[in-house]
Amino acid sequence: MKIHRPDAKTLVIEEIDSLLGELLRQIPASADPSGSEAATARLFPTPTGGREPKEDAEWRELVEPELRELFLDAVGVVQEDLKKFVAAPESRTLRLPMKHLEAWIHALNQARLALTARHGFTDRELEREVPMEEGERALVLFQVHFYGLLEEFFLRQLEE
Amino acid sequence: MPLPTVETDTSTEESLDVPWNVVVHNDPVNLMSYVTRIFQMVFGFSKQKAEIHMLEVHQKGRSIVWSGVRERAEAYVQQLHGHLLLATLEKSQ
Repeated sequence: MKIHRPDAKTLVIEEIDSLLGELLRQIPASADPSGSEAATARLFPTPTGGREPKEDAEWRELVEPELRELFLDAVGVVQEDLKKFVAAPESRTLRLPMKHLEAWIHALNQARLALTARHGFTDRELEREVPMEEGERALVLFQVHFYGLLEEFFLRQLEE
Repeated sequence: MPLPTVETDTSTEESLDVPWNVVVHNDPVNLMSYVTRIFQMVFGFSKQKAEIHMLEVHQKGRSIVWSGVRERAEAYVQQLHGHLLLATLEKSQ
């Protein structure tokens, strides 16, 4: 996979192999915490962590809906950028407007947090201090790291 | 005619008297560069100051990134949650 900027306004990811292509297509679904209490709790923490139940309940009622909308907006931008890529499974190139990078960084981070909480990865697993298992868990851990690499790269692009 | 009752707005009094801390907690998933960037964006920290707080979060598990009136502290916590950081509000000791 190669990433380059043909001009100041565009970022191109090309020579995407089928596995990484599939992982890119899965960003919106991976960022969705639905069906996982752990993922929902991580994406929507409370301001007092349970010390002040009344305050936390008010937060859930008043602030959480705003945050949900904010998160949906960011993932929506990514979904829109992925539209053509999703519609053409043989596609190996993805073009992103630079002005969408903030949304991509958010969505990648959200996906990493949701996947980690959903699958209960430990700090040691995340730091690769345990041998890589076989199967789905290993693939999801790879997905978390792949999204992390992309996120880091995008962050650097914004610094330049 | 019932006597008027005087209600004390304790939250306002409290917010004026007691500083509240915005605390950011460690999270093994958020990238260090990402946390630094969010601190710069939300609080207007220099990169150096943002990195000091980021490293404190990473090494000590938490960092107090802002102290002041409760309402503003809540607004900062909301912004930090909007950027997916683990942040809480605590009364200053």
